[in-house]
Amino acid sequence: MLYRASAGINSLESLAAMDSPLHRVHPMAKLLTTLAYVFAVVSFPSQNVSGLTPFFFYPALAMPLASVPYRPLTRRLFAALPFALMGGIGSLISARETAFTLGSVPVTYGMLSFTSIMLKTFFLVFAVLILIATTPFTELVHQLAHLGIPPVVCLQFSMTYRYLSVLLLEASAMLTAYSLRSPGQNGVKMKDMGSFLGQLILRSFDRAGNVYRAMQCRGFQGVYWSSKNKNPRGGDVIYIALFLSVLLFLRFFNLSRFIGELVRQ
Amino acid sequence: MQLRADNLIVRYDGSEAAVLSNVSFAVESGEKVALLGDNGAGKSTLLLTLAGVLEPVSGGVILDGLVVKRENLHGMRQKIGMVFQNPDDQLFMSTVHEDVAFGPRSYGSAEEKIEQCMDKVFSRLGILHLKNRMTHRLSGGEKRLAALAGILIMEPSVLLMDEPFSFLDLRSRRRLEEILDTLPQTSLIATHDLEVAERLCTRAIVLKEGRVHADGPIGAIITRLKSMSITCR
Repeated sequence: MLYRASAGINSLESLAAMDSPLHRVHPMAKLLTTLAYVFAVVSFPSQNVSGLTPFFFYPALAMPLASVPYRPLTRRLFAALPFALMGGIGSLISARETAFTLGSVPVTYGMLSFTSIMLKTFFLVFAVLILIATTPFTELVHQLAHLGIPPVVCLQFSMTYRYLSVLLLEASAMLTAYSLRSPGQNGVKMKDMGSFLGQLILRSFDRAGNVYRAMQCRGFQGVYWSSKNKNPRGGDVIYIALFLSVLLFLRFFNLSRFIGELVRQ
Repeated sequence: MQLRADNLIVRYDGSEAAVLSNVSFAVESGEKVALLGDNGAGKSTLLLTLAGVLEPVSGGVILDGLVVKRENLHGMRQKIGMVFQNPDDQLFMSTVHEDVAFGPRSYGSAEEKIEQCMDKVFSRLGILHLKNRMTHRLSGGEKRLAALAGILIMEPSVLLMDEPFSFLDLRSRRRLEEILDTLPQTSLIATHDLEVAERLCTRAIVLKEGRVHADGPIGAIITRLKSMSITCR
């Protein structure tokens, strides 16, 4: 499991290193549009399902544009959905008044809330995953610094991300060694857990120290932004303008209702 | 460029015992010196001290007549390249390209220059095909060469290598040996492999319990070591 988690981080990095039209968009353009998308989705009232639905446009367009496989992203999406499901079920139980009837089926405010929560989670998680899968993490941190996030905070992001995989690899190696000497045992026994975790901390500390020394030896002085300092091109500006226009249109014009009324007429 | 260790004494934090005691020697410009000794003799500590990562309690490291101090450390590190024992410690960026560019970018080199130097170094090491590969997907030999590329791109005058042949199969060892043989840099190579040391280096320094136990021509040192059955394989 730990090895899978570490491989998961690496697989996202592998995806970010691919080449596609979306990968080639400037990281700042992707960051800004993702933030705007998140803000727009979150700003919808809790029972406005019809307004939210058209926001499916982003995952639907971005995935083919990015040429990233669906599986690694949907797997991560499903990891987040149970939390949304808990919140959604709470709404189902608490708001039982009927909002309208669909044919002969009464639709409660709770049902609307539930659908809205699930849609929002789906859109938000997918938007962030698309961003991470098309932009190297170091470049994202670089852009955050450009947006005025203090360097020390950016450095924390960067280092946490780097050391997370170090920690997972150490834990994975230790767990393998443990399992090989305890056949039939599933996981680490409680009585061994203390020394297992203690060793893990010490080993990770050592590894992290070595990584840090290697960085120091190559001139690291506390701040490093990988990026190739690409300047945004005309295409990036058009991407932002187009994206924000669509976003504003969908936020203030209920496309679903409009299409519904057209169909009804 | 001459590298000199002058009476180095090194202790780890919270420890009374010295890991290195009164270590003194000089490596002349272009010289290749093997650093030999048992596990725990202080080889890695010595290399880290020479690279300015560990600070000696007393004594100093002198590079071409200039004492390495905290104030000039950043500039000095550009001149001293250190290849770590475990390449996984050294390859911390996601792709080989990003990792090799880490050093020059830290020193503010222009991207065009980095690309030019990178292509030169990759060609020299025969790893142009690894440029855009993910670092975690490389084999042991490839990782070692990628780590070496990350150091060579800085164009250091002095190379410190901590057991560069560990984790390598025979073919990768041969290849690395051939590459190291052609490098013009002043080199200090910590190794347990006496045969490789003899082929690559002209001189050897033997560390024992944190002190310089022997220092002289490689042939004489290895003969002496073999007869005394000290150290190594």
